[in-house]
Amino acid sequence: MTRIVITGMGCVSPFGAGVDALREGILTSRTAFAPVRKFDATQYGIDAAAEIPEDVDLSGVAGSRPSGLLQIAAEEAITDARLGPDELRDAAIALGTTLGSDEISSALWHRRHGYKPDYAAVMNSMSACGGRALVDRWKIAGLCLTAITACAAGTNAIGLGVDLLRTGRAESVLVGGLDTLTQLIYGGFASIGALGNVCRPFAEDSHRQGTVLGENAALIVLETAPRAIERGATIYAEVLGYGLSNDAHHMTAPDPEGRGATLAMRRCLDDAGLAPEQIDYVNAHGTGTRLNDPVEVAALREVFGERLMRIPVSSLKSQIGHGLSSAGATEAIATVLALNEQFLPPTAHSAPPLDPGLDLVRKPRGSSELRRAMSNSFAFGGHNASVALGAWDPACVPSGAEPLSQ
Amino acid sequence: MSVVVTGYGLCTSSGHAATDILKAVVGGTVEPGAPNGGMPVRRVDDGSAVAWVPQRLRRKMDRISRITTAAVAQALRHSGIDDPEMAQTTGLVLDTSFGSAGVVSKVLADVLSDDPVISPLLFPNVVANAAAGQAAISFGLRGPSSVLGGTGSLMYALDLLRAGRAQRLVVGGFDEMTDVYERALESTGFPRIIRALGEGAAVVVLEREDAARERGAAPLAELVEASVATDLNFELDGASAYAGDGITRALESVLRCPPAPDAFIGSGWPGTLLREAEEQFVRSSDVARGTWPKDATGEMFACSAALNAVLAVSALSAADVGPRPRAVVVTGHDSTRGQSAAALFKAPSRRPS
Repeated sequence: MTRIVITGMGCVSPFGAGVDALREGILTSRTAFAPVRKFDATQYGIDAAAEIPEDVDLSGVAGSRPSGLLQIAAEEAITDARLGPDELRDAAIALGTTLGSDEISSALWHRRHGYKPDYAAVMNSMSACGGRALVDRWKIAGLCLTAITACAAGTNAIGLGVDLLRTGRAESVLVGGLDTLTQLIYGGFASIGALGNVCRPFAEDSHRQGTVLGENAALIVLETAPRAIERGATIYAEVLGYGLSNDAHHMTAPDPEGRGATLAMRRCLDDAGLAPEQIDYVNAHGTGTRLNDPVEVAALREVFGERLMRIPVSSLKSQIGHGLSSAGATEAIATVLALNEQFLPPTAHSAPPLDPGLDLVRKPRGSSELRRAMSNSFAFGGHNASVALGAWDPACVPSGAEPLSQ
Repeated sequence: MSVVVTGYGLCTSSGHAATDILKAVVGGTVEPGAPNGGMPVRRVDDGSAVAWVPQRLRRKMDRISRITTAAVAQALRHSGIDDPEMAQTTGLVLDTSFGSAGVVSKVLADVLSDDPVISPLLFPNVVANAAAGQAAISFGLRGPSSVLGGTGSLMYALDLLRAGRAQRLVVGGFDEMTDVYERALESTGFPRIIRALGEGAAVVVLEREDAARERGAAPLAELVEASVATDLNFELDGASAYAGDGITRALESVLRCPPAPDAFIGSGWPGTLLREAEEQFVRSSDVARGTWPKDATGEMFACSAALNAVLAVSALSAADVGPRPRAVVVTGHDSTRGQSAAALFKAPSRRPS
């Protein structure tokens, strides 16, 4: 099996543009929650979100705001990976998104104010149009796929990229996620009682108000290890495997026994050739909602058994909210930073824990033994995705992988 | 490791029976849809879909979820997957261009009203993967599950099965037409090209050959290879905007694998560079005749690509639609973003009894 590595990363998050901004935000335990700027959210009884700062400069990029944010993230990842035009021409794209962009609502918004609706903009709002912007700007002639499995889509897209590389359909793949805050999603989450003004993942019930919606554009460059070594690329981490499943239970509520989440994690471990005891850290889905967190803990306990109490767990959503399809990719970047720089990202709140048997990381802390991590994403529709990431060690050949000739 | 087709299901505005559609397409007897503005629109009869949906879930589903669930139900029955244990290891990989178009249109109207409250009953179906989720819930499908925008499902499913990530997958596409999207399409170059709009869901059951053999399922066809390519020169102006380079690359990719096809089921609209590229392929190959179902069924977006796969399997396995071909190559195009797909099916080494 071909080993897959990460050679570039780029993102725009509620902490600002760039991976450095994300790292700085994580390490200072900041939270990015503030009253919604984009629309009047108070009509929904709550008003917090984690929006991308207004000072992120979109003046140099063409297209809509979501498309522009994605291009900023892509430019950072492509520059970081040092991919030239020839390499980009043969690259592929696997992007995760929920609604793709908010152009459909802004296009139809005109109707409310008596203007002619811009239906051409509706067409541009189709979910895969984000990837299309990358094709057009960088002349990427490989595959351009879009996973639209809602909050699991970013992690699903990483898996898509892994398979494109393992099957030889591509030599490098830009994988990631894009979602921006929309009133449609905000009002919908509010209608089902899933939102709060603060996000406290894995806090005890009375302290978990719900999740806070966020927005991100996040892209990662994946390529095969031999090619990355051949062209002298910097290798940040390795993608060891991934797993998908469906709860087959309910459209918005997780299976109370966590069967779907358990299946995704076990399939991920199988794909990576790892035993549960080889996972050193879990970057959890951790939405801070009433339903998700206890089910995710139950599923983690099912997979990792009593050893769970010795596996550090944290949720980035405590700092930048829930970016839906962009969450999985942004959380994967955070996990890669953790593996590469040997620190544990925090769950930034001090509320009493949901489960005292969980090693919930409260403040960022160093860890000299962080070799392999898992990142989870669970979605409406019961779609689940887990990805296993590892610190890059060319001498340590995973089970089933081809040895590298250097 | 071979990947075989062991069942299929349809719920489209052109009918539910693959052999009937195939005969009608080949015979050119499909009736045009009712005029509706610039492009005639053919709708799925919602009542015909509801009968396939578990009663306890009908009221929780939006329209495209019911349509998709009906197609999945037929495919599972056709494939003989009626055991809950087997369903637990069965996954879903579906394509869509517009997702839950009907619910999104309705919820957007609510958001844009003076009282922008969203119904908690409607909202769960807003996500584009809702139809796949509802189908999984209906039949207990806990295998690997994904929804893609466009036409990549056959290729991704093939890769998942070959990698051993799943034993069997329900694979195909769905799309629904609403007033908002009709008008959006009319604002592009579509009306110059497209003869009619349709909607529906079409799926096949793809299975690892060893898994099918183990449970005694008869293969209807074998999926030899599938590929996707992006048209580099695409502009968002409807079906006429393809330059045709994407479909050419996708066809080249699947035709590296034997056998050479003797039948072709295409997706390009007449008068477009896509159709030219496909007709050029037919002329330069061993294919006796090309068929373009969309000419009769209308543009059904992700469902059209999936319908072509179902029709290929039907042609390879049904006894009453004329001489069986040796191998069929099918194409699909996502007319909203310049993506083209091709897949090669061949007759199974073991014929169904």
